[in-house]
Order: sequence, then structure tokens, then C-alpha cells
Amino acid sequence: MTGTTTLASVHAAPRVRRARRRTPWIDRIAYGTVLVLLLLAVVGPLIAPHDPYSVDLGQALRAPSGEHLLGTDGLGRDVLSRALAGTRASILGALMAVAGAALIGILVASIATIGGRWVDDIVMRFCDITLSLPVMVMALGVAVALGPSLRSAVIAMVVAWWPGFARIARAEMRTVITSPYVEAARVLGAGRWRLMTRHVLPNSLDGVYVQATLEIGGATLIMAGLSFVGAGAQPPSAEWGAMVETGSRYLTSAWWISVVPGLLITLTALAFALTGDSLRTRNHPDAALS
Amino acid sequence: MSRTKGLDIVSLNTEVPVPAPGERVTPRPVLEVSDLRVSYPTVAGPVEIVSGFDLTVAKGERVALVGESGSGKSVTARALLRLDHRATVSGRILLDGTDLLTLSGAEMRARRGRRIGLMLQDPMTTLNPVRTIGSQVMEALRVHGVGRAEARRRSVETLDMLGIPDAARRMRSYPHEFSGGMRQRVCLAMAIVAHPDLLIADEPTTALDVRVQEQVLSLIDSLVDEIGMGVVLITHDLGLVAGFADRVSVMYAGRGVERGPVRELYRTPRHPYTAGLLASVPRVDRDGALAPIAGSPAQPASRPGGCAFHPRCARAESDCATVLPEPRRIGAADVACHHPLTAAEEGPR
Amino acid sequence: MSPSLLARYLGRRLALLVTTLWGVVTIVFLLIKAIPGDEAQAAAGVTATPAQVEVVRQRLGLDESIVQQYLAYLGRLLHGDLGTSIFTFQPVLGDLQQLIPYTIELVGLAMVINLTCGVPLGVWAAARHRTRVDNSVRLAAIFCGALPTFWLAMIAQTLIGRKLGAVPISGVSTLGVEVPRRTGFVTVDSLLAGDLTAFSDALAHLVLPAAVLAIPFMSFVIRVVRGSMITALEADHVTAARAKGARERTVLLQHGLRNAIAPVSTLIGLQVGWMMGGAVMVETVFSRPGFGSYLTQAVAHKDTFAVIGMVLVVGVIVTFVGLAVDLVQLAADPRVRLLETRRASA
Repeated sequence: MTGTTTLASVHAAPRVRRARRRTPWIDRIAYGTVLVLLLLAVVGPLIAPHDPYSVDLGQALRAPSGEHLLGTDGLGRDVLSRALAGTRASILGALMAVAGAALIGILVASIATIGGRWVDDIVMRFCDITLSLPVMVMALGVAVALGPSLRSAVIAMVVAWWPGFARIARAEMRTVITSPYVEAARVLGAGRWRLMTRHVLPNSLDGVYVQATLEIGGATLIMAGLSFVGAGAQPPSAEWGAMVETGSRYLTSAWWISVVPGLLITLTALAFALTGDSLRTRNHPDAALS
Repeated sequence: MSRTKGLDIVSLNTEVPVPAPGERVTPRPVLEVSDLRVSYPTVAGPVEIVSGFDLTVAKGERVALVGESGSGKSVTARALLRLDHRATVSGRILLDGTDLLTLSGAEMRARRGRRIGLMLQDPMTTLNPVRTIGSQVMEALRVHGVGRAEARRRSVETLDMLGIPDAARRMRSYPHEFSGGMRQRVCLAMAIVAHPDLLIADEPTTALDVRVQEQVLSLIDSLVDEIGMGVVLITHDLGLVAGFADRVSVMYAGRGVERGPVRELYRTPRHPYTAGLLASVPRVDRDGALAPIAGSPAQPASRPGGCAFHPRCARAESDCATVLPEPRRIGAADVACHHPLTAAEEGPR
Repeated sequence: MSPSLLARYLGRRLALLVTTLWGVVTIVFLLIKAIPGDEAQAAAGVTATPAQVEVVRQRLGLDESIVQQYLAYLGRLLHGDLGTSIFTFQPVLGDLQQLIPYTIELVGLAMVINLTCGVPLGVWAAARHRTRVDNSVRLAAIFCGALPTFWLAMIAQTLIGRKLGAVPISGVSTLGVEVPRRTGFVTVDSLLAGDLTAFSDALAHLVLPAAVLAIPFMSFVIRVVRGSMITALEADHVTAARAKGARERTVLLQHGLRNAIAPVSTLIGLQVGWMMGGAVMVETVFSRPGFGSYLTQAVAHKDTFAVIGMVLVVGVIVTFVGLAVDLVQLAADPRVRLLETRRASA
């Protein structure tokens, strides 16, 4: 009975309760938006009112109307239909990039963790070097090496992003592997493989999940950016970044062509960022956004 | 901010304690706290951590504030300086006759450090790791408008007085370059460099080992004589109190349960809680097993009605659960208990 | 830190710098090798005749083993040979020397905007932790981070540049107000020439792209400053400072922000690189010459060596910025000093 920091305990109590309190409305909107976006990524192209690729120059640059709810682009294609169809490329592309990067990151972190000090040093140094290259520049390099396409953009982002995940996973694995219960399992004679799969991996991936959620938003932004500068999805494919680029010529006369996909990119990035932030706040109430 | 609601024990409190024979006669009080109430907002509404606490400290007097963790000691310390803006503080805190609770923010700030110094528990975290010792001690003077050269001179002087070897050179050192005991000396220097009238020391020795504890306490002790300040020593360790304090105030669940001269309280504890605390402290002058108090301390949010100690008390009767005991004078002590121990009983041992 | 320990630290740090640079070069080399198809054809350009391709293949040593190629590549880099652009027909290094100042100017101003807005907002939010101010700043930060740079650039260009006519919409200077090129930085050159009209003209061309580039990065700065300030402000030394009678301002700056220098400077170091990535899009939209627009063109023309050369140059810049950040932290944070002293003496 020696602890004395009454003040701290007084504040700790309400803080915990606050975190358990019902989810703030803004977080719930974010969760909802994420669900809707994921749903659209699956069914988007199916519910498009028009063919997103059918060119009709007679219908070009029509303002939003009953016929074309969000207007048409320079080739007379329905912007709403293209935006819906683009959900799949933009969001699934970002999801695949993040999932791929996270998987490789976890794998490399596992190798570094069980591989001993030398392996750990070399692997982590390599991660640091790769991280020092900006994702956008690195991805442009990869994209040009493989030839510009949506697939290259996804590969480029995996190549540029896995070290970030490897760092996070490895930091958590370090903490877990030096914890008393893993020590206990080791004493009981558990082998490396068993330690990794049964004890370390299941207990060290929370941070990776949260980071992944946060990064999906960023991945959407970079994917779109790559398409915008011509290193990602190529015309005529319906992808938000490419759509913004197509519309840039008409920004003063037909704003909807660029504004609609731009807003969708913002919405997606925002929804995933808020969701990730909300998840992180739940895990560590005090580490919110830090 | 003064509240009329609650216990009317102000008259009892303002009375200057009767000096026991052989104890020094205490001059007029530097600090008079009456009916102090501190509450914090929580999701479930405000929770009162300190509910009606009284304390008097005279110039040159050493008062110990004793209680288990969670009893509201540290909250009291911070409330006296109005340090936590989230806390709602009411009652009266008279510093040399001025009620601190009526002061503006700037007036309050002018008194912090200069009139009341605060020393915290952990010297590892009380010093800012990225700033030099010197800048942090000097800060206590600089914020009150003392010039740089003067602040430096007085800081070196104070560090020197507190036994930091080669103080002038060590001013440029960083906290990590000091041992725990030396760091706590620096913390003490920060608290008293502006020569306050009152030092509040919140568990100043808990993080230190026993030998260093004694050094730090004797330093504080010598300062009382040297600069004539009053000291409030906040601790959970009754063993520490015996050799240091003139008077003791025992706190339980945000209320004072017993206070009086230190010898009186050790020889004949009146409140069963005080007796229980004493029985759980090892003493060289008595044999017998240590007897910890049964049960766990009351939580502020779910404080029992009546006397908060009654669920853990062997002497509790039906009135203890319903009627809040008012402090009354027994011998030289003020005791808030319906069924206090008599001198003959010598406590439950 | 004593001089000998400092020397040992610097030695270790420079060795690390060399390793990192070598790592960057190697990654870039592997990138070239990963390119499917005939590298000699790529280097010679699509219009080259088979004979020309053979000449290039011999010149680049592509008929030799991969180890020899790697060594030859390292050798060429040491001589500053990043290859020749198949689009401008100029050595890539020369092109970059021409263009990099424009980009540094853009990134520099963006960083200034980023910090002068982001740091105070982060401090403000931390000081008002768990209040409406804190929540609003937090949400604003998340929102800033969710804006696509290229789209924001287009919208800002159209609304502020075209519709309001507040600033020029493209380029680095108005036709006719050019100043003699000395450093390559338009703002610096105009000041050197003593031409204030040219200076304000250059600034007007710079400010909107820089602001657009800064906005997503502010998001991170706000978050990191806020987060590390909140941690710092919970420490006992903050209570101690208040108990000394320090003003809230002093507490925030001396005991909060002062302690956040290390994480914030790490972030700034990383952001320099990320901003060069962002500049790719901003320069394209605002038709500014520079690293980014050169890169986009190079991508469009499948100008392999130009792209690879630029990846390399950015890697080098980022590596040196990292060194600068480490030195700043060494000077500002005794905890870092302690750690490095222990390592250096180990």
C-alpha cells in the first residue's frame, strides 16, 4: 500500500470510462462511410446508370441534369457511372496495396525477430534506407520500370510501403517476445516456430491493423496521384485520379468532371483516416493522433 | 467561493493548538485551511475527493499529513496551490490572512513558488530532462522578476547550501547526470530558492532509498530553522513522521480523522484508523506482530455514508454508518470519531 | 559531449551516411535491372536503330556480368554520370542541376508555411486538450491530411488564380521580369540583382503552390506536435514549473514544446523527402519547371535514366537531411546526447 499519486488515479478513472463510452457520432459516420465505400467497390460498376465507357460526343460536357445526375465528361461519358465504376479501381487498388505491404512487412518483421541480432540489424537498416525514399518518387520509379498501369501502381506502393509496416510489426514483436509469458513458454521448451505462431504473432498485430486502416486513406491518395501524373491507371479506364486529370482541362467550363472524383477521393481518405484514428484511440486512449 | 454548507468546524480549527509541555510555542499561523473541498468532474458527475478538510500550519512548524494512497493527500497539496484547473475547490485557504481562493490567476501565480513552494514525489520526472539544472532552479526566481545574474547567484547559493558539491559548475548539468538523491536536492532547491513561507512536500522521499530519505528529511528540517518557513510533509509513512513532525494530521477518504501533537498521537491514538495505521508500522520500542488494517481504502466515488472508515472498523456501531462524526477535542487532539479509543485502551494491540 | 566522443560520434554517423547512400544506389540499381525488356533499347530510346542500340549496349557494359555492371555503375556514379536523358538528350545530372533550385525553393517555402501554421496549431490543441478547440484542431488536421494534393492544386489554381486573379496561375516568373541566373533560385537571384519587383513577382508565383503543397503536411505536424506536447505536459516537471509560479506560456514553450523538438525534427526530416514527392504533382499542375515536372515528363516518355537518376538524387538529399536532423537533435536534446555518448564509448 505505498502508491500515492492520488491525482493520477483520479484522472485515470474517468478517462477509461470515457473511452468505453459510446462511439462519438463522427466516428460512427466514418465507420458507415467506410462500409458504404467498400460495398460500392463491389457493386459500384453494377449499379451504374450508364455504361461508364460509352462515348457519345453529342452528349459531351453536359451539366448535371435528370438524365446525367453528375453531368458528362469531354467524351460524353456519364460522370456518375464513371465515378461508381472508379470505386473499384481506386479503393480495391488501395486495399490491395496496403494488404500486400502489411503482409510483406509482417513476414520480414518475423524473420528479423527470430533471426537474431545480425539479421535484425541488416533487415532494419534496409527498411530505413527504403523509407528514406519518398513513396511517390519511389512508386514513380517502379511504375516506369514496369510500364504504367494500375497493376504497376499497386506493386509500386507495396514496394515502397512494406518497410513502414515491418518497422511497426517488429517494434511490437520485440515487446511481446521479451515479455514474461513468452519467456515462460520458452522455458517450457517451445520452439522458435511455435513461439512465433502461437505467442508472438497473435499478440503483436494490433498496431499493424490500425496502421493499415490509417494507411488505406493515404494509399487512395497516392494511387490517385500516380494515376494523375500518368504512372497509374491509364485512359480510358475509370479511376478517380485519372478522371480528375481528364477533367483538369475543363475545370472552368465543366467543373463536375474533376470535382466529383476529387471529392470522392477526399471522402475515402477522410473516412479511412477517421476510422483508423478512432481504432487507435480505442486501443490507447492517450495516444490519439500522436 | 466559501461554502456555508457542510460541517461548521471553523471555530475549532482556528484555535491555535495548545502547546504541550516541552514543545516550542508556535507563532501565528502562516496557513489556515478550513472546510477544504475539492471535486473533479467525471462522466458520472463531479466526485468530491476532499470533503471538508482543515489544516493549520504556523511559521517554523512541521506538520505531517498522513494517509493511505487515495485518501486525497496529493489532491489537497495541489488544491492549496490551485494547480489543477479541472478541480473545483471551495472552502477557505488563508495564506497570511489572504484567502487564496479569492485571488485572480495572476495574483495566485505571484504567490506560487515565492510564498508557497511545492516539492513532488519523483525527482526523475520533476526535473525536465532537456533543460539544465541551473535553468530550472533559476526559473523559480526568474518568473518572479529576479534578474539573471541575481537568480544565478542565489541558485548556486541554494544548491550549495543543500549540499550539491561544486554547485556553480553543476548548474550546467542535466538531470540525468545526477543520482536520485542529488536530484531530489535539486527539486528541493527549486521549491525553496525563492524563500517561501510555506513548503509543501508531497511524498518527497518515497522514491528514494532509506539512507537518502533521512538526508533529504534532515535537509528540510534544517531549512525550517534556517529560513523559518512552515512545512507540510505529505506521506503515507508514519515511521518517517515520528522523527520529523511537530504535529500530525491523519486523513482518510478525503476527511481529516485525527490531528494533534506528534507525541500525543503516537502515544495515545484516539481514532481507530490512526491506531490501525500505527499498528501496521514496525517499531523498535514494541514487540509483536504487525497488524495491517483489514479491508481496502474507501474510494471517493463510492464513499460509505456516516464515518467513511466504518466498514473497516472493529469498533463500529450502528450510528457510525449513518451519522458523520464531527471532530471534537480529546486531550490535545481533535478526533472525528463516535467511539474513540480511551487512553487506557492503548489501541487495538 | 566531449570533443573526442563527438568526433567518434561524427565518424560513426558519416559511416552510416555512406552505408545509406550505398544502400540507396543499390536499390536503384536493382530497380533498373528489374525493368523488363532490353535495357540498351530503353537507354538508346525507342527510335534508335539496332546499330545504335549495340553502341549503347557496349558503352554501358550491358554485355558483361551483372557484378561487373554493378561495379561499372558505381564507378559512373562516382564520376557524376547519371546517364543521358532520351528526351532532352542532355546528361541527367546537368538537367537536374538546372531544375533542382526551383523545387528546393518550392519545398522550402512550403516547409516554412507548414511549420508556422502547424506548430502553433498543435501547441494550441495540446494546451486545450480534451476541449472543443482540441477536437476541432484534431479534425481539421485529419481533414487536411485527406485532401489529394493534385486536386487541391487544381481547385486552388482555378479559384484563387483564375477566378480571383489574386496570384499568377503558372510558371515561376512573369515574362519580361527575369533576372540574370546566378544561384538558380529565382527569389535569391532577384534579391542579388537588387530587383524587388522581380522578387515579389517570384514570390507571387511561389506562394500558392507552396501553400497547397504545405496543407497535407500540416496534418502530420499538428498531430505530432499535439501528441508529444500532451505527453510532455502530463509530466511532473510541468506541475513543478506551475508550482514555481511560471506563466502558462512559459510552461507550454519551455516545458512542452522544448521537449517535443526531437520527435518534431524527425518528422520534418522525413517530410522534406515526402514534399519532394508532393512537388511532383504541384509542379505539374502549376506548370513550374523543377524536379517534379521533369519527373512526370520522364515518366510520360519512359525516360528510364532520368527517372532513376532522380530517385537517386532524392535519396541523397533525404539522407543528408537525415544527418542534419540528427545533428539538431544532438544539440537540442541531452537525452539523445546521452544515448549517443553511450554508443560512442561502447
